[in-house]
Amino acid sequence: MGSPFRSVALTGRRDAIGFSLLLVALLAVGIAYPNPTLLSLITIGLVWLSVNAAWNLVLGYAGIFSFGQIAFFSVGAYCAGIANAHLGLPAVLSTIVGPLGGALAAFLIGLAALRLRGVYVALVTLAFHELLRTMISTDYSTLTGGPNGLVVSRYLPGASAVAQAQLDFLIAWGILAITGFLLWSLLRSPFALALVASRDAEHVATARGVSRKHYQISAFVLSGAIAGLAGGFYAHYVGVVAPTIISFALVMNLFAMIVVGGMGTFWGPMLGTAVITALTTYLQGLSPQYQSLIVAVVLVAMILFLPGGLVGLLGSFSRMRRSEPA
Amino acid sequence: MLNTLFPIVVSALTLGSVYALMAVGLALIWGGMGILNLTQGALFMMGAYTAFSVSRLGGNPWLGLFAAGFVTGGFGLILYMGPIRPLLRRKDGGNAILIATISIAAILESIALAYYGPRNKVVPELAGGAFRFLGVPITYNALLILVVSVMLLAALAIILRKTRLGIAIRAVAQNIEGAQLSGMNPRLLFAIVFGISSALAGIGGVLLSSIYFVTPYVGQTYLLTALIVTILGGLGSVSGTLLAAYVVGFIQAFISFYLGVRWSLPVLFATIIAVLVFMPTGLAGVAQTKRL
Repeated sequence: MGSPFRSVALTGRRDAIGFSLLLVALLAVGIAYPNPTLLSLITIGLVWLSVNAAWNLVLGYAGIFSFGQIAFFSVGAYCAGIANAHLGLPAVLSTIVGPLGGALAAFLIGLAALRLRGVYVALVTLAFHELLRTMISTDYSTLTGGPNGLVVSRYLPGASAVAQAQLDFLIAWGILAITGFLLWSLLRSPFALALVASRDAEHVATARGVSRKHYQISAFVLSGAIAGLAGGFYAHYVGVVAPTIISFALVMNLFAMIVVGGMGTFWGPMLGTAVITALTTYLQGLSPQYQSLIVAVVLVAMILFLPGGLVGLLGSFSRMRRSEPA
Repeated sequence: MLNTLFPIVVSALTLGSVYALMAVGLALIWGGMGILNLTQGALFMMGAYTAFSVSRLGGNPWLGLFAAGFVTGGFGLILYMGPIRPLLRRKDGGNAILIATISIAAILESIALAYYGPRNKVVPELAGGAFRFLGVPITYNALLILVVSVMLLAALAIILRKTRLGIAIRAVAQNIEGAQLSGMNPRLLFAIVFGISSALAGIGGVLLSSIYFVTPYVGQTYLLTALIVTILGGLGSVSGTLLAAYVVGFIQAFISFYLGVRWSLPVLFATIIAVLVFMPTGLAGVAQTKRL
């Protein structure tokens, strides 16, 4: 605060401590309340947290407008599902196939999309999403199971509902822990600085020897791998992989989480995921069209009135208290 | 040979004309304001449902067509006056508008789902019956779709080329400061462009839904197709967009016939990914220098 320069670090030790506390608190809740309904609510929240945290690296820090995250998530889910249902891999191993598939898809789409900029990237990734959805939902071979989907094994087949829910929760918790600390350490490294520099001042970054494409594609692949890992887990968690997961409503939902929380901040996706998950759980009694209506209204309101998201709002409050210029 | 080819050509021309209506709206807004309006698909759906409601109340199909044009055009104006205008002034306005318009489309879709339900609805044909041309039956409806959309496109072309309004729209698209210095009001012109392009999307929805069906989410596919057309035409170029609309119509009609409907969208998506990667400026190729 005394220094005239703004700190260049994108995150600090305080964030790591906060994130560790969050993980401990989640674990405590998961162990203290062995209630399958509550656990599955938290588990699915943890899955979206990981997917969003990874998407935020691309959307927020790299400034790439990619809408392919759910497509990569679905590729991961289908890769894990196919490895499990057709190749007979046990659930734990086939989950690992998820991130490989997600990373490969992200690499190929990234090669094409990152030759372009801005809205063009959004269009290529949206086109990929639609391509994947139409191809899988009209596929009548046994490979993907078409509209009916693939049945995959659970992590603990035959175990009690509580034991199954607890193991699922622990795995999702582990995925979030890996994702969070990986992103945190990336944000402390020159890698993230290079990404942000290419986003904010591309010519300067290029002149300093930062290759925009190299860093952006790495971020894209990493983000796709995490989405694929979450997808692989999701397949075994639900027990079915069906084309309904490649839904545009889901893209909007997750996107709303990131925007509501605050794009390009460490806590934004986490806060947003918690808020939107709480909102949709609260609205559970309503039919799906009203739920997506309300989420969309919240999204428009945020874009119009709070472009920095909730994290930006909290930040300006704390600046006001310290009476520092914005 | 002719018996199989001719119906495909008719279907390609009708599809192409309606795509042209939707995509020209997108191109006008992109060319004039540099933003992507992702509500275009939802406006298509809105127009179709307006015509459906008019016919359910006992109105004539032509009345439905006009009503759809007015309702969607009016909604486009509200859209511009409401959320779009303040966002245009923002530094990262392009991305914010992308998010805002895609969310507004989701809002419209949810409302349509709540009000009309998920079932397919049929919008009445403009005219019943069919005639034979070279031994091939053609419905009057398909012919009227073609005539109405080509007339609208021609009217738009005349407005853009010959009238003071059209010249002002093109001037603002080319150089907004220069146009302002010459006494034009860009905000008013943007509002008009938004209204026109929204009305065109709504009319396109009525026309195409008399052949196919309308469902609350039907707009998503048409939005993507219109985006593909706009990109292929070189975002923002009106003449390139018209050419691209018919190219896409022909690709789609031929693929549906020879490979099956299942392949028509995948092939288009794959095409557009390839086009974006290898010729990012589209068919017109000179999108940056000559827009309208």
